[in-house]
Amino acid sequence: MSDISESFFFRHRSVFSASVFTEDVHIVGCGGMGSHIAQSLVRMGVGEKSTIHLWDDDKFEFHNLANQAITTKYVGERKVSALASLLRQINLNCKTRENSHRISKAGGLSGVVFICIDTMSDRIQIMESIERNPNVSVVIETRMSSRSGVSYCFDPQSSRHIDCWWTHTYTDEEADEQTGCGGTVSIISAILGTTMLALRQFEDYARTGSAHGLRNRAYIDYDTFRTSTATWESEPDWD
Amino acid sequence: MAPSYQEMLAEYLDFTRSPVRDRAERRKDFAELWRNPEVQALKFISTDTLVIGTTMMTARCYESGALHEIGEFLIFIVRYRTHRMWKCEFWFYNITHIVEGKHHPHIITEEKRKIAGHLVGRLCIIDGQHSVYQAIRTGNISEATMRLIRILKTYQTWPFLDISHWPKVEQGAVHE
Repeated sequence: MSDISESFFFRHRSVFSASVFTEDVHIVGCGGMGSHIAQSLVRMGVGEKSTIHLWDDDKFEFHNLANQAITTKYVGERKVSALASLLRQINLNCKTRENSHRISKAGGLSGVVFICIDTMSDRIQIMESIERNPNVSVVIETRMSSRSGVSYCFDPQSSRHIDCWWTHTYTDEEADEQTGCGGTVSIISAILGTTMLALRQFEDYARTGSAHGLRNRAYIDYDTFRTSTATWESEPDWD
Repeated sequence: MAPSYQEMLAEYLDFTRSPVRDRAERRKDFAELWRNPEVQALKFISTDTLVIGTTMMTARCYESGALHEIGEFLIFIVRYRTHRMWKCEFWFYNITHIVEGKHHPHIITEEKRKIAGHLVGRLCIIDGQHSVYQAIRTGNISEATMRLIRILKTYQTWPFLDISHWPKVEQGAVHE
């Protein structure tokens, strides 16, 4: 690690050590959640000893300025290219790989996978593929509305964790009903709040090297500021 | 003869099987549901449908401040697993005060949906619905019921039918 990078990340070394984190990180979906997570990871030092893989088939549009980590300069550009450029402006030494096609199978994924996409059906499709990919060590999957945010951090090779994840899975129809009539969906405060949940789970994973024994589900209600977490380790007697 | 507590508990534990809530937690849930003063009946009509009979539900008009009797309800909670996902539904039937075809100011009759011979109603209030689905999905029917009862006692803007169509509570007769 360069001297500049060392001084860059020195302050939070006790929480997250960029010099020892070597796993690749994949960010599937570079919109509201994905762009803020990517930016934050680079600020933590991720990308120095590993590669950040960006996955998105979309382009930035003007309305994305409201909640995504971009500037007007990048409107019209492919999200993965624009985001990679932004990340390098934060840290020149950051290694990125851009994938501007839709991810349909999880064969190309490895290490830490952040799932930050819009639809439940896409999440399910990716997860069913990740389960057969032994190279993925942890999944951090985020969901949010203007009223609440939730982040799941789990081991995709654990049948217990997978069963628990499926218990929190629903159809796109039900997801659409959550927004209600005229409700705001993606406001920046909710995005940053949910990003915080995902990043804390990532820090926990990086420190322990395992998704077991962690807060596998972290939830925050933005109206009441009530939070709750759940760990999926105990084997309940559910037959 | 009505099923005993233990018989109902056994059916409830089967109905609420969940990898995120163990039996001890679900036994407590059932005890809470059984003791809920606003629940006057519980019955499984199939392995995937629980019917909850409520006491009289009232709601206050935000304009006049008057308290109205909305009705006693059957709440149908449906939970089953398809492929790997848990499917959840909830429906309502007003057994005492259906007004102009409406079960509740915010519940519209679903023309094609019948459960146990009743043409049931679908809730239009969005607030809190996801939490109800989440509670049903994870097998916490007690929490789902409390939330649904709270919703039944809610009157807000843009109803299907104004609350004034339901009778006012007489002074001292029913309390919120």
